Amino acid sequence: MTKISIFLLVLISAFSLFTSSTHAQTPTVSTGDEIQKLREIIQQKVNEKLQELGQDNVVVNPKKAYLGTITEINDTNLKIDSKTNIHKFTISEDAVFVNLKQNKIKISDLKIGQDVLVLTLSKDALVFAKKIIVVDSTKLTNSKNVSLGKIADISPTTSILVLIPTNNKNRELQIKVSAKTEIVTRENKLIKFANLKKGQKIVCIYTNGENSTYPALRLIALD
Amino acid sequence: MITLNHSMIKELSLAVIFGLLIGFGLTGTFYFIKQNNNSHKNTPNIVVPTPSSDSQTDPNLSPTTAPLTTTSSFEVTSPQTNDIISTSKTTLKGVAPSGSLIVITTPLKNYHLNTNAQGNFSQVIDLEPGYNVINLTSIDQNDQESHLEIFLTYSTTKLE
Repeated sequence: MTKISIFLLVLISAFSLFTSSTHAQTPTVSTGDEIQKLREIIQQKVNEKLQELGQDNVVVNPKKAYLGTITEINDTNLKIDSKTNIHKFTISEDAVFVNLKQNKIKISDLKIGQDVLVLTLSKDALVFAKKIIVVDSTKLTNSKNVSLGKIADISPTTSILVLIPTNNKNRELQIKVSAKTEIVTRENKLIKFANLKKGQKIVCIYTNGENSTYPALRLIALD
Repeated sequence: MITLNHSMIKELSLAVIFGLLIGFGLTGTFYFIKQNNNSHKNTPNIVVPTPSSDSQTDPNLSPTTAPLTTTSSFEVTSPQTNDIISTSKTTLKGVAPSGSLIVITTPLKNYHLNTNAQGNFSQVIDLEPGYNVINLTSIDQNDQESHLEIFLTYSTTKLE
């Protein structure tokens, strides 16, 4: 009996010395799981950012048109001045040249100082002039003006109102309202001229008149 | 045959108990040393990304409601100036301070609209054949005006 108990005690003590290696594996597995989760989260975030960057990439239209005055021209190259930039083009072999009357002309008909609209196509880092149209640049403007201000005076009988622009209170604009003038609220609801009041804040879209009275195209009542 | 007397059994038991204590002690010491080594070995040097300023808009990173992205600039994002458009209508998209009124004038028509909460705006506009000068005016909540001009050419000419 005593022998057995001694043998058992020795066996237990010996066994206890060899158990350490098996216990060490469990925490390693849990650490590995955490790393895997962290990797997945980082991968997900990287993918999200890549998608965002992909959305931000602006697709550049290879077809552009430039208006300007010819400053240099030869068989292969064209340079125009658009007042803000100098543009240089390679004249395409199949380029088409058109005059003011929309008739086809030759490249030799183009002269320095002429206003042209150049339709271009970008290819292989070169900008090819594909169609060159002689234009009257004075007709290619937007003569509409936009002004925010307060109504200083309003005449229902003459349909004229006086607008003092917010950005220049020393100026008085005489605005002529006609049947063609759209009078709307900020939310685009139609209102009548009679609804406009002195002191009201409005935005006026008008064109350049022949005299000091400007024809109103649209009045937007802001309050 | 060896016979054990009472005192010998007592001594032997004490020896076994001490043996057990030493055994468990050594095992425990080895276990903790190994545990520490493993935790250092298995944890790579991972640089945890710190949230950047713009990540505040990511709802996954911020437990609170993401603030609205607003802009103080006024610009047209699409189409780009000097673009050739092959259709008579195009959608003008851009950004301005939120709450701004946007007024657009083209050679053919006039438009006005409000920006959304993020400051974005979008308007389908009609183009006349040829060169179009498009003027845009932004009026913010403080009545500050900003102006932009872009040039679009409506042409169906095949350029390829």
